[in-house]
Amino acid sequence: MGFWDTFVRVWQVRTSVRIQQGIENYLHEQKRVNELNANMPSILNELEKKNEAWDNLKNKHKDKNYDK
Amino acid sequence: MENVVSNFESPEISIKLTDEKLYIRTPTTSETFALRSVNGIGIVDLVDKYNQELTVQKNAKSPILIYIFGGLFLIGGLMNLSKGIGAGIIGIILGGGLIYWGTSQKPNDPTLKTAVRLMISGMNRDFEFDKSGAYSSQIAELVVKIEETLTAYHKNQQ
Repeated sequence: MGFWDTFVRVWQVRTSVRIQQGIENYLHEQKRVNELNANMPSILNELEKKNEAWDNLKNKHKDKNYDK
Repeated sequence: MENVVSNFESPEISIKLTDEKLYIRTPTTSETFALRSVNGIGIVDLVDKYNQELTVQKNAKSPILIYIFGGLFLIGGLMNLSKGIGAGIIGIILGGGLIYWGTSQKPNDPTLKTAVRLMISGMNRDFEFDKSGAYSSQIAELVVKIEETLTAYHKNQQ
C-alpha cells in the first residue's frame, strides 16, 4: 500500500471515529437534557421546600444578631 | 488571645469561628483559614448531584424475580408447616429473608444536598450539608456570623 492509500485510510478512520464521537456526545447530551426535564418538577419542589425553611432560619438568626 | 465568635459541632464536621480565623474539622481533614483570605461565603444547592440521584432511582429496576422466589419459599414454608415444622420454618425464614433483601436493594429516596462554599483567594472550598438536617439551624447561625464577621473585618481594614 502506497503513501497516498495509507493517508486516505488513516483520514477515513479518524473521520469516522470523530463522527461516531459526535453522535455519541449528542445522544448523551439529549439524554441528560431529557432526564433533567423529567426531574425538573421534583427538583423545583425540593428547592422551594428547603429554601423557604432555610431562608426563615437565616432571617431568624440575622434578626437575633441585629437585636443584640 | 482569639475570641470565639461561633462554634458548631456535629459528628461529620466541626467549625469554629474566631475573630481572626476559621477552623474546620471533618473526620479526615483539619483546615484553618485566616479570615483575611476568605473573600466570601455562599450557599450552593447541589442540583446536578440531586438530578443524577433521581435518575438512578427512577432507572433502578425492582427485583421482581427475588420477590417471586421469596414468595414461593414463604408459601411453601407455610404449606409445609403441617407436615414438618423444621422444613416449614426454614422455608418461611428463607422467603422472608429473600423479600427483605429485595426491598433493601432499592435505592433510598435522594435528598437535595447543599454546600457551604468558602471563597478563598485562588479557590473555592465546599462543605456539604443538608438544609433540612438536624444541624441546619446551627449552620444557618454560623453562616450569618461569618457573613457579619467578614463585613466587619473588611470595614476595619479601611
